[in-house]
Amino acid sequence: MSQQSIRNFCIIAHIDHGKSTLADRLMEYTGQVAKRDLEAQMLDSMDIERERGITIKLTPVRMHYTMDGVEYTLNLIDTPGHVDFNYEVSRSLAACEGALLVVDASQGVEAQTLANCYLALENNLEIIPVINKIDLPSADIEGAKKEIEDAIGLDASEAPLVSAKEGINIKDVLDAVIKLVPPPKGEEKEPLKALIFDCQYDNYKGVIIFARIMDGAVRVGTQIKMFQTPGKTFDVTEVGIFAPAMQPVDCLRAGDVGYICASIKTVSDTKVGDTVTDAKRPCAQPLHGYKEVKPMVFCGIFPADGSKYNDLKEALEKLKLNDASLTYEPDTSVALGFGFRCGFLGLLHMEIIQERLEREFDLDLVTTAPSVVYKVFTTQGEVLLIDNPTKLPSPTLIEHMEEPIVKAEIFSPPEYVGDVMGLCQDKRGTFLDMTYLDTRRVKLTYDLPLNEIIYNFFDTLKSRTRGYASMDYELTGFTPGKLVRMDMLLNGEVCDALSIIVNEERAYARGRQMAEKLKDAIPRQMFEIPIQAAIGNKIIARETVKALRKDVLAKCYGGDITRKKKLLEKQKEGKKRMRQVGSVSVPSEAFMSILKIDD
Amino acid sequence: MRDRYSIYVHIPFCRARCSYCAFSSCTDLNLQQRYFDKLFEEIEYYSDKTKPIYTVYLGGGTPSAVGIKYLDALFCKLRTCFDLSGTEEITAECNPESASNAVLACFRRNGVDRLSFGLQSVNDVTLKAIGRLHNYHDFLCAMERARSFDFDNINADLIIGLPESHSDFIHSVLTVAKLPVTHMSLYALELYKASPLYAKLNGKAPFSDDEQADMYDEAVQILSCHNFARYEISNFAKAGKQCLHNLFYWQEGRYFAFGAAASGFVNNTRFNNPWSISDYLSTPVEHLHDGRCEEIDHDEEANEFVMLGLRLESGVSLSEFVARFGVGFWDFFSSANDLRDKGFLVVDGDCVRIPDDKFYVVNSILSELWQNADE
Repeated sequence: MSQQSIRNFCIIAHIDHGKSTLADRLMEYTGQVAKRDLEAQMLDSMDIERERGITIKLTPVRMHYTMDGVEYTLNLIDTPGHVDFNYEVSRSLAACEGALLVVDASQGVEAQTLANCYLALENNLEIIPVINKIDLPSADIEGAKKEIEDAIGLDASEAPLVSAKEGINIKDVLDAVIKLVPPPKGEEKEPLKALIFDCQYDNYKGVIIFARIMDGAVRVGTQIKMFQTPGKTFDVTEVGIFAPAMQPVDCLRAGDVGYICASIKTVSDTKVGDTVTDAKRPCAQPLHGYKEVKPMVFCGIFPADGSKYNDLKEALEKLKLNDASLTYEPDTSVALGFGFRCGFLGLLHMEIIQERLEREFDLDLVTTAPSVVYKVFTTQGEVLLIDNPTKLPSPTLIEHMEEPIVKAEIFSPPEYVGDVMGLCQDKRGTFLDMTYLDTRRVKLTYDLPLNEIIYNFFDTLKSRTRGYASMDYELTGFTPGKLVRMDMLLNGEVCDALSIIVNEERAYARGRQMAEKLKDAIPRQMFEIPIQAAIGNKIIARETVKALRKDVLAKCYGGDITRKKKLLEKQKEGKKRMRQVGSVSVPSEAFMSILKIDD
Repeated sequence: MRDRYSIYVHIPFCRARCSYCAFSSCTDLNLQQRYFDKLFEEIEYYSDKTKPIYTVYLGGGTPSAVGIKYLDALFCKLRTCFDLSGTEEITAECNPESASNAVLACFRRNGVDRLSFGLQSVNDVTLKAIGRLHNYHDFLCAMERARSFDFDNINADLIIGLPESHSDFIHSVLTVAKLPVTHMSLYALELYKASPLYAKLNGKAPFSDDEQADMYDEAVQILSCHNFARYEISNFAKAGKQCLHNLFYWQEGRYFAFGAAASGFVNNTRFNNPWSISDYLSTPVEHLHDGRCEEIDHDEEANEFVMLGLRLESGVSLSEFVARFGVGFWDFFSSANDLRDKGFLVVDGDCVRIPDDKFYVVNSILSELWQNADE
């Protein structure tokens, strides 16, 4: 098939603006999937993503569509919709020549859409605005068009007006893709050059690479290698297309989107963004733009029941197979026993992994406060990267420390600008810029320490703006900060799982809040329990859990000893579920309670 | 100890249901005939003349509220089926309004030598609010009647935490302590979801646990000044007037139990009868314990022995523990030493006990003790 009849495109849309529905309609219209199967396919996608309103990441789909007597192949590549996965988004975009920008006619352009749209523009994609939900009574088509023109600078006068839900004007979208998205421009005679934009793990086939062939061709038997994992070669066992189920073909050629299997056993050998080439006849240069994805947020994950350590380990291994950006290493805590220190791309990624562990593997977890990576400059002249407060060297050995800074863009209606600025100020933000995108939308730009964002920042932002604000951020570098380790002492003993690294000035407030939370979360026991926050030997906050004074139950009716025993057994079981920190029993909820500190 | 047996008989009938009660009781006195027929069948089924009976306890419900002919027949049946010749104590629970001369005479002629009155409070407003049929004056009259029948071993129950003021409660304790009663029980109010009082109070206990602990502490002081010594967490007695039947429970004694919802401990097995009267009546007598039995093995008995013994002021005898279980107390409970070091257990000669000021958190201490017992 000639490259002239191929169109590779993706869909950019805000949560709920109808991306998945539109994708479904396109497949339905081109006869790719029957309506019945569509639902099944939707159900297969992850519950968590759906519940949280993250764009559901579908496998790519190949569609056939005939216009003016010519049959075209359309490859729809999906993109994740969240800031944590920005890099993956950019790689998906790099696999396409065009993008549909879906805008809800009743909502207008949203922050995340904008961010992804800019990414698409950077990748030189042809962007086709599509105005969706025109069937809604609240639809404001002209308003949506104006927003697209004002906020992004795209001409929206020709934008298809559709209702994906009602199946209105779907043909217009397909026609626009063919007319406006340029065909691929690869060279089949050149050495193989293919972009990995996603991968999956299959128990039988090993790693399945999702690739866009830029130049050359790949077929069964081709010996391939990847630029980022030098020295390893793999023999291709299967290549195929997404029809939408995986369907083997003889060969994938320049311009094609498909999958490659080569008995690859570890996901870490196939990095999203990397370039696949022919080991015997390699291309000279990899595709540009590859970045090593590094975790930015870390936390300890421990099984609530210590005996489930191996279950947790197996679960992490399984998740890691399909998620190369998840990192973990064994960790131990005096309070929580054996567990893992895990690294994530961002907060959402962290939450998704935690929820998947709990839902898909039925594990009860205790997680520690999230941390970022700090650069620690020692008096010995070393530079250490520390992501775990308990690993921080003694203050006498630290010359100074640096913390990661992000550039955050916050989009908010004008009436909440004061609240947003107040929040950023509280979080040690540095104001950079403020722009009115239109009369209803302001963009605030701040430098913010990442370790301030990982505590409840999103929730607070949402609550202060009644849910209207959204934000995006990118890591910009490290900056020196007055950082200290704050410990929590229970009955005089440090509870390692509660230690955090915090800005010295913020430590007092944080210490007080944590002590208050713990006071509420730790049940009264036989003795009084002082809860203290400390920096080094200096106590900066204190609360007390008073000693329990009454736990005896009333009358022993007619010598019913069994009932008394049952109550005691229950009490004993309750205690077993708690963690022992010295002499203090601490329920799992206490460790979690400090994660939810309101500002 | 082990060759003695006690008997508990449950008489579930009441003339009115108290608003805090969620216990197995019944105000339909028409069921008496059927109930007692079943009760007698059960007593006969378990009859055993070889075991001398140490104490008998008629609990309820309100034993004083049923017909005298049933009470006479009950004692007759017990004497026919068991050896009551050496019995050291027979207690009957009574309510002031139903402890008539006729009932008291019946108790007297059948060997009852201890009466336990459900007084609950001396405050008439409180009594009315919780659905009691008597007022304080009725109680005084009942006391007079009891004394006229030569009952000199009398208990009065009071409840801590009723919907009344703190000082109302203290007033009750002080008032009763000055009366010629020989025994007092103080129980904390348990607010059962199913009780009318729970709905009336919107599920909120009138006093917090801390306030109840204060009230308890004050009551202990007052009673001590009036020569009522605490011998168990909730029980106080003048010299020599401890309730032998209750003590027997705390000493891991064996007891038969008859009637709806009754709990017994015979042949190393704890059992409960069906809770409701209708289930009790409809279950064949040989199946009354089905599904509600627990065999107490050696280790479990040691656990129970300590759980029950530590409720007593005297505590647990270390030498008796070794004699019964063949292992030292400190070895059997690995956390016991630690608890002693922290002051949650004290050793007094041969006995280990809970220190006075920790009595009201005995459950936490026990769960700590048990924590490591089975590991």
